[in-house]
Amino acid sequence: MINKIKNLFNNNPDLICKKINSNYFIIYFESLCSPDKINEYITKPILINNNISAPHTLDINFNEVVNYLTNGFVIVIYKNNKLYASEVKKDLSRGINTPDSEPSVNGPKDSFTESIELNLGLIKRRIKHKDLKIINKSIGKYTNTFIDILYLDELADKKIVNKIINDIDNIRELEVLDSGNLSNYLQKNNKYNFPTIILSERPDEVSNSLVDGKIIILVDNSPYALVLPSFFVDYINPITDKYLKPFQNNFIKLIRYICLIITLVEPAYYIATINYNQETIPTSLLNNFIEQRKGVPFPSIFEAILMLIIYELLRESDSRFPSKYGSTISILGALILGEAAVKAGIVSPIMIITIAISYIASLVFNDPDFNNEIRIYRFLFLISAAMLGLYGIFLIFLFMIINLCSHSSFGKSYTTPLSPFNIKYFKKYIWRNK
Amino acid sequence: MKKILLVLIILLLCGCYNYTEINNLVLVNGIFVDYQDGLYKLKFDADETVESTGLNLSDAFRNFEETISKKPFYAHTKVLIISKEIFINHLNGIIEYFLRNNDFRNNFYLIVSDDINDVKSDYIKDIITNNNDVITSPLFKKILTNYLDNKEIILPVMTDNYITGSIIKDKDNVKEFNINDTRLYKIYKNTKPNIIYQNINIYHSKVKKYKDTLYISLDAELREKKDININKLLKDDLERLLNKKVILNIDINRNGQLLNEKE
Repeated sequence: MINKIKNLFNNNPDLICKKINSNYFIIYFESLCSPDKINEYITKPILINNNISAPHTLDINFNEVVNYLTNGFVIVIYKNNKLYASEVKKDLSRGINTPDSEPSVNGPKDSFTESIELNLGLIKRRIKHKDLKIINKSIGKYTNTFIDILYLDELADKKIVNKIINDIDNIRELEVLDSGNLSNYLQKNNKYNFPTIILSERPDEVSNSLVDGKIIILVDNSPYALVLPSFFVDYINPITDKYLKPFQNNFIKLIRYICLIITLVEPAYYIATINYNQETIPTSLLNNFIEQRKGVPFPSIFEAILMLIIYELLRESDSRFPSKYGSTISILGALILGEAAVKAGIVSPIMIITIAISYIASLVFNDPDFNNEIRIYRFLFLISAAMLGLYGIFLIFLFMIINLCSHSSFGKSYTTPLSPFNIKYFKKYIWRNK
Repeated sequence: MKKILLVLIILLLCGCYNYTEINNLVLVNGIFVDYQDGLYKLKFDADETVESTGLNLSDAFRNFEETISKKPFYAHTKVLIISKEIFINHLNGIIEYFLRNNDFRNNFYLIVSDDINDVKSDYIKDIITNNNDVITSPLFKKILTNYLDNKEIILPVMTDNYITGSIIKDKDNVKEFNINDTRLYKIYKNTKPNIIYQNINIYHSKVKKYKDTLYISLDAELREKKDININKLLKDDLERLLNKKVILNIDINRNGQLLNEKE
């Protein structure tokens, strides 16, 4: 029997086989199991009482051995014919940290970790109701990743729940190492458009979404939970807004909508006005622009695209490079962009201001997928404005509105609180009154 | 593929029409138009003063555009200065030209002057906008309305860089006033003149005409105590200017007692 199991794993050096006494043999993976627990619950009781006292012990057959071994169980072989599996998992997860990517001034400071049990616990600590349904699945031929689908039975849309379960059941050849893999799979028909799933690391945000009738998917080994279906406004207004006073919060929301318009259209509007509609700029300002652009050899559109690409480079290098060297990049960026580029006559100062404002406004939105989509639209607006002026901006704006209206998030309209109008959702996320 | 082709066609075939980099533009801030010896003589305030002549306005503008290296931009033109000759004999042509030309907006100021060497547009615009007790903003769009309604056209006259009076064209009659007469004419014309005459500030006037007599009542405010008969002075001036008998009634709103005591 022992040799059969050893052969299953090609004599893996990590696999430990121990004889405890004449009747009992144990097999486990050293990297997955805790030696203290094995001593406490398996070795000691067998030696003293000739019995196993581990709390989670199951009677299994030979076909299940691989599954239990790889999940941190110890397999106890009794008299070479009976098999038991006892859970003695090593604690591989880190502790609960503060959220990195979704900070909030006055919200809870805990965030998800890589352990699915811990994440589930963080949600269950907040939602103490019998209606909270949890569906357990495992996917991936090699990774065999556990996922939990959570929803509130009374509030969630059953059609969406069934669709997601169906989608996950039909998964073939997908190895899920992170929730991002699963998110991409569930959005496989949405390659070019705005995202429909939010990845959140905040247990309070996830719990809030559950109460709003949304569906949560937790993936083992990933500190991000999937929240779906998500709509356009969800990416603009974070759930942590609810911890603020409504009136002041509405002002912040208004600023965010303005930021959305600025980050999308502002460089394009600048290009359109200085190249086509100069009469819309006040005379003294136009004179300043003309003065600043004297000596710049490139057309303004080239200047704008060059600056945008430099900013994208800075952003990418900032996110990739170890944070210990982070200050080098920002100093270099500030020097190059703020001072040297203007003095060298490559770009005009006003262009730096324009692109910087657009870039700063985009930092309001923290979802990477959403931000990437905005980035693409910004380039579309810019190129269209360079070719057709304000008319071009209007054309792309129409295209964007049509695109948003025809986009659906798991069968629901992407523009949901506005069209179809949903007063409850509208008052919760777009304009709060309580 | 068809969609991408369509987008490319829209952008490449229709795009970039009227595209201009701002450093290839020259802002024309002001234009002076004169008519001598059968030729239109123009001076442009475009970074520096540029002169051009032509048989008609279009010709003169085209000549100007050929002499400069950059593309002239007229949407920010602030003032149009015309000579007396133009105002008296060729005003129709000027108004028609600027009405039909899409390059110009209709929010520039019109002023009459004969001695312009350098067109100082910013200076002239500041003078017009900041000294509105003589002429209330002679904007082209207002003048255009008066012209289309066959009403009288009144423009400020500038000599040696100062406003020295006004010139009025009513159908074919042209009258020229000095600065004091312009103020008096404003009392006769406007319901809210807001002018200063001697030691009173007149801020509202009402004119009624009965047979050959004008009944003018004014709301005024005393600015300074003086031993003069303001009533008589103003009445004589108005009668001289308008060639009609005037019966004047000045209502002093503030500190009126002081004036009455003197009278």
